[in-house]
Amino acid sequence: MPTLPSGTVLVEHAWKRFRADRTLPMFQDQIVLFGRWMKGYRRPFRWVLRDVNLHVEPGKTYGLIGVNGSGKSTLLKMICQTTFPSAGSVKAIGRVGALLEVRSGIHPDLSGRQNIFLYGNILGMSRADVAARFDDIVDFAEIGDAVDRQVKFYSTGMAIRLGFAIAAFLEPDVLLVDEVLAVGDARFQQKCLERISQVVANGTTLFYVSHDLPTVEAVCDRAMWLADSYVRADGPARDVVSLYRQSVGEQAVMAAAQDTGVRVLKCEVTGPDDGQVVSGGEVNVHIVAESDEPMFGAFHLGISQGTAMPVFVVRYASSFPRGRYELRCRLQNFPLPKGRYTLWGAMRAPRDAEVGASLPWQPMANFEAYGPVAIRAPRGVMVLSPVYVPTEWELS
Amino acid sequence: MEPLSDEQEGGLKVFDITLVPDDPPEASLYRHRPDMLASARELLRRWDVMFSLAERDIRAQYKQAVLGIGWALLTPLVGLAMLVILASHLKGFGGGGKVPFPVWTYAGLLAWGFFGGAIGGGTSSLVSNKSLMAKSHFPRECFPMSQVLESAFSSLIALVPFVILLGLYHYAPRPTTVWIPLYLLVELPFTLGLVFFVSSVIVTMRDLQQIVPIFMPLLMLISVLKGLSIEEHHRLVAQFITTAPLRELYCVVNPMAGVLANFRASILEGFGPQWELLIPAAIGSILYLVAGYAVFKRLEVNFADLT
Repeated sequence: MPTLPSGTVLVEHAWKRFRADRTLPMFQDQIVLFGRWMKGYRRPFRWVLRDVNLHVEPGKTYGLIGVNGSGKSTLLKMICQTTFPSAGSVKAIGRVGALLEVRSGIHPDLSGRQNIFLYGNILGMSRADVAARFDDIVDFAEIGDAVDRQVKFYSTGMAIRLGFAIAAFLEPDVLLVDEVLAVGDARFQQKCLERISQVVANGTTLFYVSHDLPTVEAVCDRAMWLADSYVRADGPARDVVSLYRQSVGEQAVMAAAQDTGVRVLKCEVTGPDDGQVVSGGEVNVHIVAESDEPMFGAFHLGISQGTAMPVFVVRYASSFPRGRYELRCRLQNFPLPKGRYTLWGAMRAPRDAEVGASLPWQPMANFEAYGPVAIRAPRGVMVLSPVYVPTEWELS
Repeated sequence: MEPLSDEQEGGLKVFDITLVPDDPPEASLYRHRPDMLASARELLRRWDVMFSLAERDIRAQYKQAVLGIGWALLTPLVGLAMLVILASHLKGFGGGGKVPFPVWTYAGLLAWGFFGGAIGGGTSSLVSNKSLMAKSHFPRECFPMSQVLESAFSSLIALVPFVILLGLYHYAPRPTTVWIPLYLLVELPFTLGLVFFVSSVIVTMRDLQQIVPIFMPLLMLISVLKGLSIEEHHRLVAQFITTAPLRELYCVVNPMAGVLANFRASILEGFGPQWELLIPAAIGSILYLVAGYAVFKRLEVNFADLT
């Protein structure tokens, strides 16, 4: 077998299972279990990862997305080689480093300086190597003199910055980042993303786990979507993220909202002349709703990429009658590029009104928009949501 | 599992999850076959991590304490005071013959302290480093071993009060003290083996977390106070265990008995190594190490998942 270069991650048919029995580790239970074991009974388990295949070359960035409990962190742990796959094989060539947090890697009783050297050593670096990068780490983390203070006296932000800086400047061959940037402030987040692009440019392989889809798109070349222990999709980050967004939207629509006095009976989204929705064109929303009591309030509509966070919101305040009514809304200019979107809506009474019927924020319909494809931002730059803007350029 | 759509190499692949079998093929299931030699080699390569961890724990332990490292001097003295008071109130405890009792007791505390400290700290070394264990990959042995190292460090510091104590009682150590490294060499594998065993078993069986702190002081009382000078040892052991092979067997099972007796006899009474106690102790000690390490490597597969 040819030797793989440092930074390669190779996962072949990896499976992972955890115990699933309601195990009571009491003595009598163990005896009962042993008795059953003699008769051929084996403990039940559940698979948390099934048949994962990955081949990531050095210097590539790989995103892992999926809802909570889908197995992302377990996969990271296997790549980190701290937990064994139950079947198949996982290989990571070279030094593997994970992002540190206080109490998991960073020791609160030690000073920043001691933590930096400690972790450098754990990563397998010599003191001289760490010392060479020491100033960069302190500068990046913006902790200055506090580097000789115990970490427990740091502010939350300082500790997070230190953890990121240690991992990102010790430049392991494989860097694992598990949902942590969201905690820092906006400026630090951008700084981290830039540092990540730099580290990757220097040849580090990056694994990035996040629920923050825009950062996944900004950081990763490729991504894998895990759902309930299965690999659902694998490919260029943008395609995988958009597939994932769609599924989030669809599942949200399927989950029927509870009855709160207002029911949406029908919801249609159409483009010009009842045709397809097109970027820059008009969009008609047709809603048929039914209310148990008359109410005065505002109807909000928003369009999102699947998640509950809309790109924009429109609002219509009026008094709504009891019984069935129809609401039509015409957006004169649909400002989003090609893609799949979800229409969300809610109806709220004004704050001072006696609370009557209302409609919680919920997805109402999915639709496809046609038009130009969104332009990709440079790596490390996070685009919050795509907006379609017709442009004219001139170079002279 | 074949992807549903494969536009090109590296393109988007969407998988049909109904095609994934319920279980992986039997042949690919992971069987944990620890390779002890390879592990030992890897351990040698990452030797320094052990020192880093020990340094971390020592620094963290004495940080923010007003007396700082002074506690490492005080703790054994307080222990000694308690033992001396206790022994003066209990019948049948105390010994040492012509050697002043505190000196005799402290010598025992020294040899015991290394072992007891290592077990005390090492027991929870895996459980308490859960998060570091999930985040970085280096030989797991470093966790318990760093505690053994830390205990060795404390024992070195505890030598200072011993010297003072010898001065106070005008008691010079005998020239046979030079044999001490040999006894420590016998004590070390036993300590390591037991630490490996306890720290790994505790991951699945937390009961030990309760048991160890109860039993260690008891064992200490028996070993240190009830420990014997060599002449007494010969007499008393003969009372309990009448035949010679059984006495040797006792030292195999409890290597500390052989080590402690030799340790004190050499420093304080001028005896050379009592081979009939030391050799069985060494054999037992190595057996403990091999068994403890085997258990550790066997259970290692669970560490990251169960801590």
